[in-house]
Amino acid sequence: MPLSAPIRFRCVLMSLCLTLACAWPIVANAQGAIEGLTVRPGEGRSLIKIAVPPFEITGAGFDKPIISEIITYDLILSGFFTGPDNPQFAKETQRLDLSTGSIHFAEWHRIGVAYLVKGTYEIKNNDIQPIVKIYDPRTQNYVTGRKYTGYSTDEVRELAHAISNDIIERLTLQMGVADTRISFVRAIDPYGKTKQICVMDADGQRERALTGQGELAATPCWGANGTEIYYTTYRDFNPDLEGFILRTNARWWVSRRNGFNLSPAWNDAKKQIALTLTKDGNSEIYTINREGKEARRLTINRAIDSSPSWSPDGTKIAFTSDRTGGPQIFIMDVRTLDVRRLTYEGRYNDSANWSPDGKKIAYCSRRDGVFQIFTINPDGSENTQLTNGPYNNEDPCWAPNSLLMAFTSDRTGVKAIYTMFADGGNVHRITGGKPAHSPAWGPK
Amino acid sequence: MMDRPTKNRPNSLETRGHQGNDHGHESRRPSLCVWAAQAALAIMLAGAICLPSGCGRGLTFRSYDVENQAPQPPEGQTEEQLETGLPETETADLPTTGTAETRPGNPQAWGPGAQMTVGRSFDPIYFDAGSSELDFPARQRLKDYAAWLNSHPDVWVTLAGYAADEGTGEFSLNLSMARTLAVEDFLHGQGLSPVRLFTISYGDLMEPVEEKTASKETTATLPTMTPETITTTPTITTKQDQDTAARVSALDRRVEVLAFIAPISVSSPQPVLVAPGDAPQTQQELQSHEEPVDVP
Repeated sequence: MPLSAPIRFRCVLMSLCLTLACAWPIVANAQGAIEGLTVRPGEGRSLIKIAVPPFEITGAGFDKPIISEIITYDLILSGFFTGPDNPQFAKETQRLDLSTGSIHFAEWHRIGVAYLVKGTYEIKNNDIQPIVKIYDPRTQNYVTGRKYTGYSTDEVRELAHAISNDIIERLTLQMGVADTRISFVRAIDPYGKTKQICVMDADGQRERALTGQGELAATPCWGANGTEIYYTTYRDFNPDLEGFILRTNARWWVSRRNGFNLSPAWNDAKKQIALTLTKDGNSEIYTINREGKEARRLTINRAIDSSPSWSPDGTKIAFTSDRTGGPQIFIMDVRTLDVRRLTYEGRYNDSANWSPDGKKIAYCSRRDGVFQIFTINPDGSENTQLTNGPYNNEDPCWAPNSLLMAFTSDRTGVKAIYTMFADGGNVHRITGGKPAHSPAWGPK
Repeated sequence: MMDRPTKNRPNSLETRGHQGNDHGHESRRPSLCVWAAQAALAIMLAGAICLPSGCGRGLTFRSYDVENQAPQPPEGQTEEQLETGLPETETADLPTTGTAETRPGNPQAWGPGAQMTVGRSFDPIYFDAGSSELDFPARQRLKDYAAWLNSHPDVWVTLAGYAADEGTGEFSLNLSMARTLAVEDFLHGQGLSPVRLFTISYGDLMEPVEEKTASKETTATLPTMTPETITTTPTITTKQDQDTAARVSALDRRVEVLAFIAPISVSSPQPVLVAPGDAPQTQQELQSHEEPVDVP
């Protein structure tokens, strides 16, 4: 029997409502992102070609290419962008633009540039005030632009990173991390007498040592508000945990218990440090506050329990234990202390690091005699290998946007810090010189 | 003439013949609301497949071809659990000392009165790769050490553990500590007072160095990593292994026994509480720059 008109009308109305409910996110996303831009990384992820020619100083000629170079490198490190097909042609096109006072979109488009970033700035009373505009050479349209104020000429790097983050966020809708920092360990002498805790920008610049010569230090982690770092130091002939405030250089003893005070991991939600202590006879995991008080023991067994990593909400800790015969990753509920095993493949799994969005845990696993980096879901699914090759890739740590990772690799014969995208692509080395390892990526 | 199935032609109005109707009823032209509902369902399914989570912020990752299904705990495995987390008492948390100069175990901390030469040598204790278990030769050697140390109560001992090139940096640190503690526990069991025993572990933080020969009187010093020390032939008595790589590898898996004589006047350092309020106040990040302004 055919449906009556009122019922038919209600059916159509319901269907339309359902359709809109499903389509709205697509529409909203399309409105927020730049039209035609594919920004979802994964298999077949393509890089966006972007050109950032040197900024022009208003009324004073051409600037040093410092700002534009910093921005270009930030964009490449982000994992979303790459440079023009023909850098030399890009330089000539920029000269042409400057000499004629107009943008030659067709030339930029010819070398495959999807987005062109043009900047001008003037210096007033030691303040640098750039105006940055983004164009689409294909459509010859102006896309978006911003004016920046409040940066002194001593803050060129901070300014460039802020611009980079804005470009990344405007064009990809993803968080930029160009303004963040990474702490790590630098091996100063070949016999291991000096290993320094250092901090650098996420692009590898402005490296600064926090500990001194002749001192062994290890396992740095970022602490409260991202303004302090906790690390283990042998300065007092025992692996003690020290805190260091970056802005003031103040330091204090967080924990000087007998034996190890090792592998700290800070959780901002809980305001607690999880760490490994051996004061009770073997390596166990405890939590303490930043004063070293309120200690709570979380593991009791004869095995080695070490290398804790908090879930972002502070309810769980991923850690390494050899309670089943060899090092494997386990997850513990901090409240109930229930433990379940996470990794079952590979005989040596270690260095768990929980992503800030809580969706993935990175770790390293020994395969064919070398360590490779994997990611896995907290429920144990989607175990994915990200690195390969006959060299070690270890110490993975997530960037605050959960899209990038820093790690240690000895692929050149010397340990160095590298970054890569979360799918294993866009690998870039960011340290040179003496061996560097054990990175920890700071928060935004 | 049999009509073609209209399953793949949803817009067709020619609907005679099978349409997958279970009841075999004579087919009817579907109403507009049915088509609308089917279209909505198709869009929902398409969105579920193609729409990333979080409105454009989701990711897809390569799937790793995993043989196993969703991981289950091995049968019979029991996870040791705590009923409650055990809060530590203040006395249990006491560090051993407060200043660098008097930290126990550091022979250099005892000043000019300390004697580094004790009159005999102590060869390192070696372990199998990845293990902190003392094998029979190691236990025999430690019994010999303990007997001598028990007859020389003025000699104190620092145990320094290593675990280089065996795995990741952090786990190597813990493994070296496990080895050190195994030796310490054994010596305790042989009657040595804990006051005379100090431990430190380096994992792979320090590069291995070849030990001094047993024929020489051992000068008990902390391991010094200089090219001059990498010349002597090691005396590994647990196994006769002439291969250089194996010898160096064995050096990576050792606990060194460093003996020294403390000055009589020095007493055991008193523990020092970590006083509340010692940690500086946390800092807040300053927002020193103005928000940028969009340019039309």
